[in-house]
Amino acid sequence: MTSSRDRGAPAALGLTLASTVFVASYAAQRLWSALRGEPDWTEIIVSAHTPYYWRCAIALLQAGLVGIVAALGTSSELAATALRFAPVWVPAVVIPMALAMAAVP
Amino acid sequence: MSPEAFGWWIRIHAQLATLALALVLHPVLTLRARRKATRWTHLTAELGAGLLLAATALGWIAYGTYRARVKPALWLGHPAAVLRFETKEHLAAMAAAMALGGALTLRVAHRSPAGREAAWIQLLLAFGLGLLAGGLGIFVGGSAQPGW
Repeated sequence: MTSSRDRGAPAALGLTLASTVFVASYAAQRLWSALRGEPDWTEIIVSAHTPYYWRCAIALLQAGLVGIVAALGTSSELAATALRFAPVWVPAVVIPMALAMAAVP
Repeated sequence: MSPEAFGWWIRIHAQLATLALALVLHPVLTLRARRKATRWTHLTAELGAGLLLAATALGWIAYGTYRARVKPALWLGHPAAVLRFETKEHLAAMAAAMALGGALTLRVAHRSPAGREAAWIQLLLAFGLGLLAGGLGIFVGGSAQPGW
């Protein structure tokens, strides 16, 4: 049975996952671009787009999709359990990604 | 964007980000110290997240001009500052996402301890990432000035 306290848990899980996926997606895109090899920006005279804007937009889109799917497709019990462990899994994703961004500016 | 407008823009951007971080610190502390989220906790979390988003949006607007007008000259004199600036942008985008996620999580699940914990960790990470981004911003700002 769903406790009244857990009623907002699926939405909260969706939001927590969305912010975590934003970070993971942004960092993964940057790392992928660095791994694949990219031209030295000092040799680029004109570019059609700014990678920073694209990365943010794609990360936002992916975060939104994951958040909506999690919020709509998770039971209150499962969401409450996942949220209980958020202080573990959120920093486990975010901190390494942030450190990677210091290594790959 | 004119050089004057750029100067105004990035100063407002920095001031808003500093204010936002000060606000975000309040829910980070109170969610640890109290068993429930008060009206002020919600208010500072949401206002802090909103201001951090506004600061990020101002940064996005100024970024195009920075890339075209400031970055090439800065690269010649202070390549380390250019690299740190890019790291700052990455961390700032992450901080804004965490702050927004934390404030909204708190709004929808403040009744449950697990919801408050999830909101707290996101706000704490937003504060930490924002602080690092601000420190890098100060470092870059010290190099990207006219000099004499």
